[in-house]
Amino acid sequence: MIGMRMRKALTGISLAVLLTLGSAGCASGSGGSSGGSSGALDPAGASSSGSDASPAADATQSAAGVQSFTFPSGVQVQFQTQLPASGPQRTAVIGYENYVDSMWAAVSTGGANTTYEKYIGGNALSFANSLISEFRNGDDKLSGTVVYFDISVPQTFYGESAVVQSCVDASGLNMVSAATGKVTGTVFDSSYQHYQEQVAVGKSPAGYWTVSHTENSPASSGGAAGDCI
Amino acid sequence: MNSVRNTHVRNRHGRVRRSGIGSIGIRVAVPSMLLAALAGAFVAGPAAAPALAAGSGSGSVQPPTSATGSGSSNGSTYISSIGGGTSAGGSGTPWTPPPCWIQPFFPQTQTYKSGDPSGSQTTDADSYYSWFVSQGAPATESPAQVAAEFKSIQNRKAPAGWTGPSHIEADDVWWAVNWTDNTTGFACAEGLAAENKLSNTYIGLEPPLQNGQQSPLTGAISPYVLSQIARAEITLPKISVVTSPPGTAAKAAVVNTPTYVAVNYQGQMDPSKTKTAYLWGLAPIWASVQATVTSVTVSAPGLFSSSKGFGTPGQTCAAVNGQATPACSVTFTSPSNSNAPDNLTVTVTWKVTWSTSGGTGGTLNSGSQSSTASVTVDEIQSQS
Repeated sequence: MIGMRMRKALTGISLAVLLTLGSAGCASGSGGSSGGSSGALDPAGASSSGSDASPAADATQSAAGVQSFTFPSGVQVQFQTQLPASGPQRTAVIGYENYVDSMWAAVSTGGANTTYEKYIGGNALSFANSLISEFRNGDDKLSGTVVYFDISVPQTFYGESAVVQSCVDASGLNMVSAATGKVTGTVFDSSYQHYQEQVAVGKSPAGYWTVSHTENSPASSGGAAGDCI
Repeated sequence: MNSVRNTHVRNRHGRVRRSGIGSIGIRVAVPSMLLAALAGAFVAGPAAAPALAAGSGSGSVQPPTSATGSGSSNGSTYISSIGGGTSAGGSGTPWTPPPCWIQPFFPQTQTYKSGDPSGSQTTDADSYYSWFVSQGAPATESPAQVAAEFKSIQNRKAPAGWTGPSHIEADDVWWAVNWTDNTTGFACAEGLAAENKLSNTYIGLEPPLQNGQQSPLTGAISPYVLSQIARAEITLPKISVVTSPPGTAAKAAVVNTPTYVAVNYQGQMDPSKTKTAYLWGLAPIWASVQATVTSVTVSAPGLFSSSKGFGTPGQTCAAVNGQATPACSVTFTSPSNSNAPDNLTVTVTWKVTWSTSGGTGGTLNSGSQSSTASVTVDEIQSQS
C-alpha cells in the first residue's frame, strides 16, 4: 500500500467533490492511503497526492513545481496550509514542501530515495542526513503522520529567495521495530514533538527552489513558536 | 557558474566593462561616499550551522535549533533593539539590522591559490565561493570547473562565458554578500547575489571604484549601512540601583537624612560601536554609533521630598566601585511600613547618535533602562 502526502485544508470541500476529483485524477496512488482518505487536493486547485505510482495522474494533479513522492504504508505528510496564489511566496512554499516531502521520503525509505539531495543544502541537509541515518540499518521503520501547518512566507528577497516559516506537529511520528512492528520510540525527542521551523529557500540555477538553512524552536519555548501547538 | 550580467558599462582606467544582456538593474542609492574594498576584518556571514543535537531517547533526534531572533557573526552578538530586551524595564524602538548586504572582500590578486578551496570565506575568492555553497547554496559547477575558472581569473584570463570586467586587472575587486542572521540573512544573501548577477554567481569581480564613486550593485555596503550594523551591535548596559545606607533592615535609610543613590552600570555606561570598511588604495569608510546617558530619574512616589543632582547635565550618578557616593541623593520624609520596604526606581535614558566618515549622521531613537531597589526607611525618634 502506498502512503500519501496530503493537504488537509479541505474543510469546505464536500465529500462528493473529493470523491469526484479523486476518481477523476487521484487514481491508484493516493486513493490507497494508509490514512484512508480519499485523495489529497491542493487547495490552490490541483491535487497534491504524494503518490508517484501514477505519474500521469501526478502530472495533472500537482501544482506546478510540487513534486510527488511515494511513502511507505502508514506514513503520511500533511500540509494544512494553502499554497500562496502566486509569486515568489508560492514558489518558496513549493520549495519548502519539496524539501519536507523529499526528506521524509528519504527517511521512510532508509535513504533509498535520494531525491532530497536535489532540494536540500547546508545545515538542512545535515539535519536530513541525521534523520535518515536513524533508519538506514533497517532495524526501525518510520510510521505515522507529520503535520505542517500555519505555513507562511514572512520575507522574500528580490524574488529570488525567501524565508518560510511553518509549525510542525511531529507527535504522530514514531519509530517502529521492523521485526516486531511495535513502537520503539518517537522520531524527535520530547521537546520537539511540536515545533516551529524557519528555513531559507532560494531559487537554484536550474530554476527550482531549494532549502539551504533551517532553524527550529520547540513550541514549549514560547514566543511565536508557542503558537505551534 | 558565470551568469548573464545586467548591462552597465562603466569606464575604469580607460577600460570598458563588457555589456551583458538585459536592462540596468535597480540600484540602491548610497550616501555620497566612495565605496571600495573591505578587508577581511569586516567579515560577518553566518555562524556555523547549528549542530544537530543527539536526541534524548532511543533513535530520537532534535532539529537544528533556533537562534531565537538574534544572529551572530564574527564573535559579535547582534540585538534587535536598543534598550529593549536587555534588562527588565528597558525600552526602545525595535531595531533589526539589515539582513544582508554586498561588500568588497578581496582584491583580484586574491582569487585563487594552489590547494584551494581552503574552506574559509576569508582567504580568497574561490574559497569564498566554495564556502558559500557549503552553507547551502546550490553548486553551479563541479569543484574542478570552479577551480579552473578561478585559476584562470587569478591569471587575469577571462574564462569562457565571462561576464566580469572586460579586461581583468589587479585592481579589480571581488564583491560578495554578507549577512548578520542565520536564516533570514542567508535567504537575503542568496537573493542579493542573484539580484546582482555576480560574475561568479555568489561572488563577483568588479572594477575598482574611484573617489566619490558609488557602487552600482544593489545592497552595496555604505557608511549608512555600516551605521545600521554598528547600531545593531550596541547593547545598553543592564543597571542596578545601589544606595548608601544600603536600605536593608539592618542598615536602613533614615527619614530626613540624605540617602545616596547611584546607578551601577553592568558594562560600559556610554557604549559605542564603530564599524570600519578597510579599503585598498582609498580611504576607509566608517560609521560610529554612540549611546550617551542624558538623564537619570529616581522615583519613590510620595516618599521623598527632594532629590539632588538627578537629571543635571553632566551628572552621571554612577556608582564608584559599586558604591553610592554623595553625588546624588534623596531624602525620605516618612518611614517604611513595618512589613514592606519601599521601592526606589531609577530610570536611565540614553541619547543615541551616529556619524560616518562621509559626514552624514544624526540622532536615533533614545533607549532607556530601569531598575528598582527595595529600601527600608527608619525613623529615629529621640527619647526624652
